[in-house]
Amino acid sequence: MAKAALGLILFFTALPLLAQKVEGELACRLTKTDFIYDCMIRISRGGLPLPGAAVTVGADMPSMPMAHNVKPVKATPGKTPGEYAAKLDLEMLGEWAVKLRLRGPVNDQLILLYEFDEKGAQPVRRGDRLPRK
Amino acid sequence: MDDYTVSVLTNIGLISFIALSAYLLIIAGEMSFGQQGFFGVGAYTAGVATAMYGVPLPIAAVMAMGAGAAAAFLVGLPTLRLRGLYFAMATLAAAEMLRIVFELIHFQREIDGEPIGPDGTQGFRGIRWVFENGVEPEGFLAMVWGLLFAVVALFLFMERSKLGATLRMLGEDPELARMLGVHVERFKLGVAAAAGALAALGGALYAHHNTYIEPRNFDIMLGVHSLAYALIGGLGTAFGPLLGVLIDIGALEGSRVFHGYRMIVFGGLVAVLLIFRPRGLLDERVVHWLKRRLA
Amino acid sequence: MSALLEIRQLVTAYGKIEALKGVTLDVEQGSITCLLGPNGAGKTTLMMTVAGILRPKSGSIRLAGEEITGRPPHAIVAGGIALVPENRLVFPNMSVLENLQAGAYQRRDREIEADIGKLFERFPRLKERSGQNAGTLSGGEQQMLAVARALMSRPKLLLMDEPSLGLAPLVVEEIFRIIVQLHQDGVSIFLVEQNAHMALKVAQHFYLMEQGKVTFSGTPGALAEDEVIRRAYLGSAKA
Repeated sequence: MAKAALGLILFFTALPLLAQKVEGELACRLTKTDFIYDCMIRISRGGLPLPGAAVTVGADMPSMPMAHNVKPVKATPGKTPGEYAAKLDLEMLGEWAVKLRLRGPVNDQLILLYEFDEKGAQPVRRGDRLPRK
Repeated sequence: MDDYTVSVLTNIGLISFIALSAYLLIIAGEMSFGQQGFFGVGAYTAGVATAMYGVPLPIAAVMAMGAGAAAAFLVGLPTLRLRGLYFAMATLAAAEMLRIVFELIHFQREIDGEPIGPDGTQGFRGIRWVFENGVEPEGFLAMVWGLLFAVVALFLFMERSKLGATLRMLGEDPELARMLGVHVERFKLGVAAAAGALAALGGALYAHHNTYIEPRNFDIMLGVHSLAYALIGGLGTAFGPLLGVLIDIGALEGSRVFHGYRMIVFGGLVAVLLIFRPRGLLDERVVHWLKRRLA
Repeated sequence: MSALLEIRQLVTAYGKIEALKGVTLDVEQGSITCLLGPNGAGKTTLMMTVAGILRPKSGSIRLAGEEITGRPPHAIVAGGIALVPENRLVFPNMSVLENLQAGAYQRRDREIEADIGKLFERFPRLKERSGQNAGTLSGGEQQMLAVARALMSRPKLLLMDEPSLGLAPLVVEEIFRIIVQLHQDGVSIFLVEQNAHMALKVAQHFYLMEQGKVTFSGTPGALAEDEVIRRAYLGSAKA
């Protein structure tokens, strides 16, 4: 009984923190120039759009991210709150870890894994080597 | 300094740790293709410590170095008996084994309602100590370079000491070193452990710089580059590997002249240098000459 | 008074092949003792076994009465034996000075610098080249450096494996002058040579070794020099 109560109390105290979780997603389209993508970034906090952030977008290759990355660009706020637009100039197709550096209302960094192809970009869903129990 | 300069300088600093780790083994006569494994051990150890258990980064970094040294010691026990190419292959295999272990680790804890921790190939997100503690990019850069300078100072001190001379004896001719009374096996294990700790320190910092790590970060690419940096920069002084990193990331990557073709240019550069300057730009001869000029 | 180095019934094998088949010999304190023999007789194997690089299968090695058989190389160096190896003279990418310091690897005393000064007096050519990479020295200079480096450990006994190998006749003479000088300074030397002519001039005692066994022991002059040379190069007729 006491355990359940403690659990409940902890849950409710944690709620505001839960609400603070910052998330991002990406919608990209390849432009006419090779490997330059027009990207729309949606950023939310606790499920609500987060406007007014200064967003810098970079990208790393998962293999050797320190040496293989592209120059980060500043994103501009889009028409809808919580949306930001950026042009990403990648070196090649394939998987990139897009790095969003957020400043302003939040000071945070998001890493989004996307597969970039001839059309646009899809979130990476990776299978495990062994099935999980 | 703009964000980009700060991030490039941070990357140069981070990768210098693993380049120095490879350098330490090369001057002791061992060509390891596996230092990326210990870099990964450091990244995962420190990430787990700060993100899952709230350990402050400085303590987590020390833990990472301990874990890196222990892992390198255990890998060294069987592999250091091997010579040359066989040692290179064995270290590569060991690092790949470590990477696969990272892929298999699913070890998470609920923190603020969110599962945090290594999640196999899905990676390990939310290593946010730097952000939670309000460390600005410039502050983190200063931390990385401060530690790097401390390490380089230690190297320079060591190179002037008997320890450094012994390392070079081992590197040039382990059999002759043995005849002069060096306990070769014990010494090499110690060097391997120190190099592991150094790579792990770089990994710990990298994990906190990026906030996200995944097993693929620690594959052969990183190992080959760290070796190449040491070989390009030169084996005469600890500034050699730093010069190597600076040439690749600072000049080639930073200038963006070669864009997507950079790897080809880099590969060519390595080949040309290994033919004309097999011990790198700052090799022993240049260092001896410089010392005479400065003395 | 027993000898400085006593080797008794020493057997060393590479796998199943015995390179030393029960070698017995002595090196007296303060002497130059020379070991002659054709290629493949086991001379270098004997040196490596005494230095601890190879482990003997059986037999005993005693230094100044102390059993040192089977000890690892670092313990042998600590015990007072220094080896000038064949063909593996110097650390080529280390300076001459660093090579000398390497010879004092096990020493912890404060007289290392003074010893280097003394060696530079004895070998002025090394002093001139002290900052140079050892790999840039001539063959004779490298041999000199190897001898000087071995002396840096202040050995009781100096083992020299073919010091004249690959050197021009004039340089060989210079190396032997150095050996005689060291002898006059009281250093005990155990010398392996193929150059029987030079070796017999300087040695007080010599052994002939053929096919892993000592086949002759005596003072120079006990056997006609042409006989020694024939057996040192070709082995005895029955072999």
